[in-house]
Amino acid sequence: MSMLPPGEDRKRFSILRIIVAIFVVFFVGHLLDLQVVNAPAIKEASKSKREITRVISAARGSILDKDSKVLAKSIFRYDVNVAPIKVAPVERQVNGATVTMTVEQLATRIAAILGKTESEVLKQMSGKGVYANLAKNVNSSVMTQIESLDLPWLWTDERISRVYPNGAVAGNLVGFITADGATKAGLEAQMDSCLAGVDGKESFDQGSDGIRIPESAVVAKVARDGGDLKLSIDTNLQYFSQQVLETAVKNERADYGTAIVIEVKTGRLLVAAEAPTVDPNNPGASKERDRQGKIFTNTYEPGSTMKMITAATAIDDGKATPATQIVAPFKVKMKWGTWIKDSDKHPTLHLTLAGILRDSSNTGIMQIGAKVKRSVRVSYMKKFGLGEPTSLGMTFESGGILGDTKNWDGQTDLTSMFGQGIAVTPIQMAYAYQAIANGGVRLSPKLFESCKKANGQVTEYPVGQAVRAVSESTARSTVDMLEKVVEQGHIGKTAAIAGYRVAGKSGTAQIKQGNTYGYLHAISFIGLAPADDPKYVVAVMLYKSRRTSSSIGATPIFKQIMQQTLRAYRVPPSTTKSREIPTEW
Amino acid sequence: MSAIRVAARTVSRPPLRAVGRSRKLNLRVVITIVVGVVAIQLLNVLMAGVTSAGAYEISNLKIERANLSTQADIIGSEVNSLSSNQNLVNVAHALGMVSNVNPVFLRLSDSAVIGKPRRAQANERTVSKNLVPNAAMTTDTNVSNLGEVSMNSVLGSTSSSVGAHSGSIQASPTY
Repeated sequence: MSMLPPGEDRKRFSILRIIVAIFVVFFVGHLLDLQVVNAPAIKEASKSKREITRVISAARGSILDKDSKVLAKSIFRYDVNVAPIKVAPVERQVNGATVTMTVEQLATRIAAILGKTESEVLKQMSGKGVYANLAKNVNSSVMTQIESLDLPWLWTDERISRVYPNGAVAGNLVGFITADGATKAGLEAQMDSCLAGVDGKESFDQGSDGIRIPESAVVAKVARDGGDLKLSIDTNLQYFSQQVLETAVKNERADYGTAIVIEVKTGRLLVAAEAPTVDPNNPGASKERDRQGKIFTNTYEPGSTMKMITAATAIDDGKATPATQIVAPFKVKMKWGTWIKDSDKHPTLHLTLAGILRDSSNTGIMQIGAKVKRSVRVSYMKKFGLGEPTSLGMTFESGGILGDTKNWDGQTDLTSMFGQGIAVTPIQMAYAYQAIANGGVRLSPKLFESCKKANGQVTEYPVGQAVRAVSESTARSTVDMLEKVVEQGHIGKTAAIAGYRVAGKSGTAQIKQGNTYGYLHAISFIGLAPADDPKYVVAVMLYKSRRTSSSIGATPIFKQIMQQTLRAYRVPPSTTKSREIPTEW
Repeated sequence: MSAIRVAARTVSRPPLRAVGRSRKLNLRVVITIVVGVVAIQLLNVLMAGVTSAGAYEISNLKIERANLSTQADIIGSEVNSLSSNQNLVNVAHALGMVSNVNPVFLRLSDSAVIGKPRRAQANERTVSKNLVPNAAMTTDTNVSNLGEVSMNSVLGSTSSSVGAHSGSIQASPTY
């Protein structure tokens, strides 16, 4: 003020106005720059400095058995990583003294935790890189030990992984999912709509110390965990069946074996066992052909287990009764020059239909089957579930092969009656017997019970329609005949279970090699118990059995599994006797 | 002109006294504002301290929760392994257990015994070793210890009262 003499107010105001104007222009300009010109960039820069965005991983649902035992679940696994460029000795306090631990000593500790050799770990830790992976997918126990080393250049990264606590139990059904989630098989793939969750996303602000600022989180997308899939499988019985099958496949030097247990009245699939099969925890340890289920996908010519369908068809069509009499020679020459023979040489027999099943006579059953028109026989085959996949719609499921039934040649027309020239899946034949055990009504397989979403909503899976294959009286007559197979049959007797009435039928089917049948067989036995009020069907099959070429190799498997089933489900022994039916005349 | 100005100044003096009162008022306003601002700042500092402490507490609790979750995970895996069919069968096999395939039922309505009781035969159905792989198993039952515990438990259960045991699960006294 001293620069201007007093009394020059106007001049003072003018200078002040200019100064103010300069400031105003400067600030308005800067304001425009901040708020308009560079606003988005500044906002973004600010946001990136304080805001952290992360994916909220949705947990995949579990696969449960009928008693909610876990067959598959999601857990945390960890990758162990190292920054080689920063690897250096560390100092540790031991009993109050400072001790330097060398890199070699630390490598020894790390190697011991990871189950590797010291040289292996040292090699991975050396170099100029900023990142190297020491181990993938280690469990929480290993992670804790690694973290407790407290090394600045060694850390673990968490990831959601999948574990199968029961290993290969039902591995053929459950399938697997690889650590990166890229490859899925079995129900892990098929039932993804129930099991898979939807990842979410959230962003939050953090302070300069890196700690999340409370209440700053903004969930951009809510994570939705996957649902729990409940199956009808009985894990304990499935395990038992797999144990029995593994032994049998090894002893019989078969390619593979299958075992199925069905709850007759509900159609529930309690067991769908295979050997060998896959441990979903380690799919790489199994051969590629064993990494997928065979019960629904592999077909085989059923052989004599098919005779049950032919016999039931003839009875239901009114062309035969269990007592219908037939003269059954060892072999019959066809007009086209080929021979149809029984498996074992025998004199000409006078058998009833029950006797034909008991002795598994090919020449006898084809005479019974020939009484029924081919179109009628084919329609019954379909009612028993042959020729089309089950309603479960399993991945790669086969419907079996009936071929062009209208144009079957004479040979196929006859051989189909005893299970040659057509092909079925193990599940199809098992449910054909379920129909007979269930008073003639074939139920659709029930494997999927429900899907329970993370919000608690439970969706029951619908079951396919039931089909009446034969009348109740036909079914009863057929069960009575099958009981004679187990009571009196040469092979059937070996399937008998002390104290219980058991009905069943064996099958020994030659396997085609090229255009002709080879020396290897698919041997099987399908039975039901207790025969007076059937509750369970057990179907077993060994494919390409090399030690035993008849179904006598399959009956011990059937017997063990059926015995265990009856015991596990507290089925009391039978108190009645089988119906008297003539088997010879 | 200067006399007039002096006169005018003299005339307008009384209102100037009021300015003196307004200065006191302004001082009170200024003091109030300053105190208010200081109070707000103090409150702000206090709030920041509280919320910051909350953030650290939440952070610590989360770490604790993660550690407990990890422990539960480790123990859960062990329980899964020990209770798996694979482990139980191996233990049963090591102990030489035999499966009795002849169940007998007692019908309560008429006390009828259904089935024929028969002793389990050693050569009949000795439990075989596990053949079903399970790479998820992290631990096995130590059979040598189990043998000792099992015998003690069984013997103890018939000779002492229920609950007398400590440290091991009592075996069923049924045969």
